[in-house]
Amino acid sequence: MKRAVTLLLTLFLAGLLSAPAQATPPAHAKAVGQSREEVVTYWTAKRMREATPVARAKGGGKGPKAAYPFTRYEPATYNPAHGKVFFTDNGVNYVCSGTALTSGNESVVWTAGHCVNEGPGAFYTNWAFVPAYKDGARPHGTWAARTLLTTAPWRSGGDFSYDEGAAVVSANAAGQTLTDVVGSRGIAFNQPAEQHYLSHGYPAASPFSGGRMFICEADLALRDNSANPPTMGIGCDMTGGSSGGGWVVGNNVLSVNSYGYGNLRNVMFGPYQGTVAQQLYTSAGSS
Amino acid sequence: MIVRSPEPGGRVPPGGALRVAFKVEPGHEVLAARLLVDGQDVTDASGQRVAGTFPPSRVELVYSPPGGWSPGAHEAAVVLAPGAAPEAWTFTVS
Repeated sequence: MKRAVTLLLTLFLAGLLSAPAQATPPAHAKAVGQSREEVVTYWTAKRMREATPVARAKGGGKGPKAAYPFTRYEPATYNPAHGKVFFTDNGVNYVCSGTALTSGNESVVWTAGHCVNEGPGAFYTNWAFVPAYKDGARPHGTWAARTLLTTAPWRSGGDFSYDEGAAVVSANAAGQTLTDVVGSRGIAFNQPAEQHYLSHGYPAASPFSGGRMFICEADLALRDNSANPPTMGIGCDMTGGSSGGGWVVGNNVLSVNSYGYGNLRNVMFGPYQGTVAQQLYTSAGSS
Repeated sequence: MIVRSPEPGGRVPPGGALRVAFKVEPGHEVLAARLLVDGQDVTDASGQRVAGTFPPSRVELVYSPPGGWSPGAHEAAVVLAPGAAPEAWTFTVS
């Protein structure tokens, strides 16, 4: 029965026709009107803990589990290019995940569009990246955003096909840049979708705590044709909080955790990184 | 914040999808919203996309009727929480 329901949902997803193709307008950016000190001071250990509250949000996970194969594990050693993201929207603190990228300004964190901007709506505040965060420990410090960017389709309409975001973080108190301190991943665009992905993230919704980094390792399982261009799906049981975590192939990020279906568990979708994402990366690296 | 596609008074092709996205208020039931088309509850036949923040911040319902839309005017409505007033709008299939 579960298999049949899964198949029906998959067929439903596959059967949705796409909207007309969109042009590729430039990225949208906003300088953060907060100092580095202000953001770093805001994120006390208590606030970080409370951004992953014990009381779980209600709902979700009602549907059948998809049968796409994956393995999920906590890495023995955390690559500090990956980290946890904290931000505030309308007075509520949220968490996501992100990746430090090789870039001209050595300061770009790659994440999901919905981890920087409401889509459509405002950019978030108190935006901070904590590389290799682990159970409250911040071995490489807290990095405050000075500029937030997302794609025009996310900024104007919340289009999950373009759910990519970036933050340009300030140097730390010692004047070092982010990638000087934590290293970086590369990024690639317009690559074949059929890949073996390592999806990184900090899942915080039940049954996870948000304190640890996990990796889902999986081949591309399906495309969501209800999005244009179709987003990519892999088997993965990471929950809320993992959004924005990089899908790595070799040393390059090829997508980010974006969304799941409430009525189809254990599948994570991410945008296909094409020209629009490339424009966003270029804008971030020169900000 | 509710994003509707097509927008009120807008057009969708017979094979197109109806999409409605909205913000989830903290502590609210993530999958509580209901989507109605021409008076019929189509929520369970819709894709329910949930953005992967924590706590949940955004849900999007995507619906395309089996066999496609019939041409003409249609009414959609979304009820964000039990007991809430429906947000209704009309669109045209052509």
